[in-house]
Amino acid sequence: MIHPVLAWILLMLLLAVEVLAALLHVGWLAWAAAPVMIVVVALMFMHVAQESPLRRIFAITGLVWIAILLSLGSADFAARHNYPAPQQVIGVR
Amino acid sequence: MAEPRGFQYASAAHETDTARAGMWLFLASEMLFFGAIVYVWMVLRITHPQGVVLGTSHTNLILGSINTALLLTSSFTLTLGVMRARAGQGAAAARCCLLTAGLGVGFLALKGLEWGLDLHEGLWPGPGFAPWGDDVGGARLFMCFYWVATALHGLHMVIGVGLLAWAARLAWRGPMAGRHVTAVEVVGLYWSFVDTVWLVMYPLIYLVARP
Repeated sequence: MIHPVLAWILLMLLLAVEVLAALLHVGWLAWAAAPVMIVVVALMFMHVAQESPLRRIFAITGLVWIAILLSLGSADFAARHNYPAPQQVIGVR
Repeated sequence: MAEPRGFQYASAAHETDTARAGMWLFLASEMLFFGAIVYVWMVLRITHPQGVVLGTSHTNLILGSINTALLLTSSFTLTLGVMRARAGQGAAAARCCLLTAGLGVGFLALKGLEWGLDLHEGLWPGPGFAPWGDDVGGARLFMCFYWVATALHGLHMVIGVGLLAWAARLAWRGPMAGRHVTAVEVVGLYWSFVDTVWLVMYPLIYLVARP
């Protein structure tokens, strides 16, 4: 197991990358760093990989639920621009 | 020597298994709870893109980033506490828990300072809302998201600090075995989860739509 100090240093570097990406307007980098940081916390601090199968299923189930919520929930809003409802006025903020 | 455990469990290991599984199940429900807030941000980003940019431009990147560093460090110190607890070092584990709680209180204090500055700047989405222009409606909605998200996360932090104090007390009094180790471990799971929630909220509030 990697020592938590290394995980902490890695997280601080990733935080610096996030801030720089936002200041330099590199949008995808700010997007990409956050999931990596979450994976580092889950593996190094929460020790997900060392959990029993049941507890890993609980953790993964949470991710599956959230994927369903965000994907199905935003499908309408994401497609609404391409397929406007008859009564919808495009471009209204 | 019998390890301290609840009467309904066959062994201390049985209690640890149950407690950790219960915490993971609770965290899975918490993912949905905070997922709904992330969903609100996604919908705002699609329906009011310029309003989200206007709202984000008023958030305090410096305080937000310092707070992120504090929270990541607190997760690290609590991981050290869990390692100490597993090694049977009660006093060291209690000190790590208290240090973590201190960092959490630091986070909350900075958050309070930031909220004060936000109110001073007129970022409460009510009468006297300061941002102006064509996109002010979207900015108002973004600020609703901001206050709800940070308040709910702050509430979780307050609960976490209380749990840390409880785990520190158990670790301090000992014996550092059985359910007392489990307490530190389970609080560690909760605390790191609240940390990951902030790792999601931080880019949404401060970074992604920064103009």
